[in-house]
Amino acid sequence: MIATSRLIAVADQLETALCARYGAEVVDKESSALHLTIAKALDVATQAADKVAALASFISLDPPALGLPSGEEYLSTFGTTIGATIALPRAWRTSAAYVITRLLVTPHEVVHVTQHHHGVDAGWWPKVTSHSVLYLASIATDDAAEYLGHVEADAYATTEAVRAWLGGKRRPLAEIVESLRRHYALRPAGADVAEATLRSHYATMDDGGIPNVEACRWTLAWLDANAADLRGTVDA
Amino acid sequence: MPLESILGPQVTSLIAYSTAILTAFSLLYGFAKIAWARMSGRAFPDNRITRGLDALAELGSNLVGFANKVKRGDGAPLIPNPEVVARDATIAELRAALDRAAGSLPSLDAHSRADEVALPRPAAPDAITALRSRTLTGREGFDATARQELAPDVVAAARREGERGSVDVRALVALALLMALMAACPNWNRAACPVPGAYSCVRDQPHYCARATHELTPIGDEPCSAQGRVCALSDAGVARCALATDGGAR
Repeated sequence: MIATSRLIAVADQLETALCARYGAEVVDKESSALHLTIAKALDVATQAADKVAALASFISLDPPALGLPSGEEYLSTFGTTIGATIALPRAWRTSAAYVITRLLVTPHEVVHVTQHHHGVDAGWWPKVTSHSVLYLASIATDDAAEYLGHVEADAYATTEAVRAWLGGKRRPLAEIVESLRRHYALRPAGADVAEATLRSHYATMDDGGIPNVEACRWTLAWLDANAADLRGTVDA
Repeated sequence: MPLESILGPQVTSLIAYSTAILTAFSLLYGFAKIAWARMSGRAFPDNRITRGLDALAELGSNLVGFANKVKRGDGAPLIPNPEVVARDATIAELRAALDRAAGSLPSLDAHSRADEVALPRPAAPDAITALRSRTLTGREGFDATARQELAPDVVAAARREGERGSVDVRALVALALLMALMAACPNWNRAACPVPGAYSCVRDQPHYCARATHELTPIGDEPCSAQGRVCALSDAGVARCALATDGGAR
C-alpha cells in the first residue's frame, strides 16, 4: 500500500519535471481570469442553446444538443491547456483525494503543450497559432474536428498508458470516444479519427509497447526512474 | 408534418448554398450603393436595372421583401399604405390641375417683362377651386395654399420609401466580419489518401485515412523506432508499434 504522501510527492515532482522538460506552467483554474471568463461564456452558450431548443420544439424541430459543459463543470472537472499554460481545478492540486487524477491528467495536458509547440500545417495560419485555432474550429469544420480527434486521442492514450503503468485498468476505448463527443462537442469526423487513433495506441499497448507519443514515452521513463515503487501498485 | 421530413439533406444544402450566394451578393450590392452615395454625393440611380438588383438583394434576406420589390418594379407597393395612396392621389390630382392651369396661361415668349407685369391674373380652374375648398383630415390633411411647406415632407417620405431595400452599415460590417471569420477557418493540410478508414505505416509511424476528408492522418507524434519498435499492420489491419520481430505486414 503506497502512502498518500508518497503519491503527492511523486505528483509534485512529476509536475515540476514535466514543466521543466516541456516549458509548461501549471496554474489554478479558479484563479485565472481567462478561465473564469470561459466558464461564464459556456454558461451563456448553454442557456442560449436551451432557449433555441425550446423555440424549435414549437415547429417540431429537435436541434442537436451543443454538448458543451456548464461553467461550473468546466472549472471543477476539466484540466485545460492554452498555449503552454496548464490550468487545473484548484482541488486537484490541493486535495489528497485528487492525487491520482493529477498523476493522470498532468502528462495528458503536457501532451497538448507539445502539440502547441510543434504546431501543424494549417494553411496561412502561423504555426504557433495552428494548434489553438484548429482546436477552436473543431466545432465548425470536419477538418478541424479531425485534428481535435487526433490530438485528444494521443493525449488520452497517454493518460491510459500512465494509468496502466500505475496498476489501473485502461478505460474502454468507446467510453473515451463517447466522452469526447459529449464534452468536446466532437463532430462524427473527429470521433472517427479519435477512435482509429486510440485503436492503434491500444493495439501497441496490447503488444507491450507504449503509445508513440514523445511526452508519454518520456513520462513513463521518468516514472520508471523516479517512482518505480509505484508501478503496478496503484488502483488508478 | 415535421419540418425535417420535408427538408432532406439535399434540399437543406440547396437552400443553404442559395442563401449564402444571395447574401454575398446583397453585401456587395449594399457596399456598392453606399460607396456610390459617399463618393458621388448623389443618390444611387433609380431605374429598372437597379430596381431589379434591389429585388435580387432583397431575396437574400427575405422572400416577402423580394415579392414586394418585384411589385415595386412598376411603382406600386405590394401592401399599399392607405395614407400614402390617398396622398399620392391628391398630389396627382393637384399636379394635373396645375398642368391644366399652366396650359391656359398665355405664352410668356410673346410678351416683354413689362407686359408680363400687366398680364391679367387667370381665373383659377375649377379643380383648384375644388381642392381649396376641400377639407382634408388626418395626417395627410393639408391646405393646398401651404403646398410649399408640405413638399419637403412628401419628398422625405418618398425617399424613405425608395430606401426600403437598403442595408444598415453596422449590420453590413457585422456580416462582413462573420463571413471573414468563416473564411478564415483553418485547414489542417495533409496528403490525400485513397482508402478511407484504412491504416498504413508512413515513415515508421502509424497513419489513418480519415473517412470524412480522405486525408492521411498521423497517429502519435514520433516513429515507432523511438521505442525500439517498428510500425506494422496487425491481422485486423490496425497500424501500431509492434516488436521488431513481429510478423505483421508493413
